[in-house]
Amino acid sequence: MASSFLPLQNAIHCFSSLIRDHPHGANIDFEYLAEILRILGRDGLNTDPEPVLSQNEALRSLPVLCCEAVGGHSSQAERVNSAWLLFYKAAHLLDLVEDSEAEDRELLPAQPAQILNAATGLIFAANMLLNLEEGDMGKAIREDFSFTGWQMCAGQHADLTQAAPGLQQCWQIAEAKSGEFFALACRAGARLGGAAPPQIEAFDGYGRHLGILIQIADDVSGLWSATGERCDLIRKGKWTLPVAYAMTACPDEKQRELQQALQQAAKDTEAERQARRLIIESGAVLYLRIEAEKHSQQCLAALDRIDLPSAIRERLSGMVTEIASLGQS
Amino acid sequence: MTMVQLVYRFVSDREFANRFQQNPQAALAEAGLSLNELELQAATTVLQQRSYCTHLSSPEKITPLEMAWPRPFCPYKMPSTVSPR
Repeated sequence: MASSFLPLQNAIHCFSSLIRDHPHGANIDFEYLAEILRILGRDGLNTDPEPVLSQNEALRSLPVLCCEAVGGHSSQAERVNSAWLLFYKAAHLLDLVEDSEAEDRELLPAQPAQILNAATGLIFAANMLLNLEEGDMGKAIREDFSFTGWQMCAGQHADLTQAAPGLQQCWQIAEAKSGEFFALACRAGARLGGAAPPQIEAFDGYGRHLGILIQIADDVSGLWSATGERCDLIRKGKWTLPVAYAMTACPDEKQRELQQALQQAAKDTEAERQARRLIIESGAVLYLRIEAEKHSQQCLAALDRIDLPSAIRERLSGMVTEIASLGQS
Repeated sequence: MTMVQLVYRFVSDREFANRFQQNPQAALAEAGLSLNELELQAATTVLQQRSYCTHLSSPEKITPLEMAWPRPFCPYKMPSTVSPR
């Protein structure tokens, strides 16, 4: 059962063994290896008793959970789970640099170029892990990872190039970046566990809606600054879902007011507060809470299409409920 | 865009909000808005929780939701082992 599976520790172990056991592993620059392990270990080696962690562990174990859900053994999906997590970390690092947020983070390399190089190394390491998957199954999994990665990059391109995307475009970007990535985890796990195509499709739907829910949660929490992070409102030129909603819903005069506040928010705390107030008063959080409710219902409907062991169903639905529970507690 | 129209009307027209909370279908018909079953269910579930109305009048009070919907679930952001403080 996945309760004994430690996803990040497993990814670190897989990654280290891969390099150590390679015929030319001894020639690898130890400093680079240590840097990658330090970046991975920063998230994975501490423990924290807070309840949210159990959901984080479940989120990081999606391929293994979905494999077990269809009757497979966790060992069938552990390596792919690790590859998925290495991609996850690589995407995170790339996103930090692309959004100019890397300087806010402690314990990361000082130079964006070094972060990009670490992310590139993680992508190659993930591919090396996927190459160990054998036969037609391995080929199908590799193709799925590659194409999904391509779709996510296309979504990121849209995110980077459209300074003021419409609400519909924001939803498309959310699906391309986040929905696809979590759908991949669920599809891959189910496939490795021997799921039939209709089951794989149901897991795809679960992961896709879960990913969109996560994007909603990220964009809503991004309205405020968290410790060590700047809020999205002061990242000039970046429209997230709440901003796109407000700019769609509000009358012209309010839109101009919001636009002006957003332009000044990077330098003026009062303008940042004003922008946040206008967005919330427009009903943005309420709108996104309704959308979260919709996607959580779709997640649960996807699970209803699969005959699942109750413990696993509880973990999969628990993640949905927790992420979708914005402001309810 | 119907959901956008519904939510904006809900937050900017207290009378409409009250009518929606009492009878969602009738309020939608009156506003000329049409939602599918999934949207109607989600809108009803959320908009009938009156606590949102009080948050909306004082945006800064909504900050506790940052804890309810914590940063560790960020996409592309590896879930942190440390919750936002």
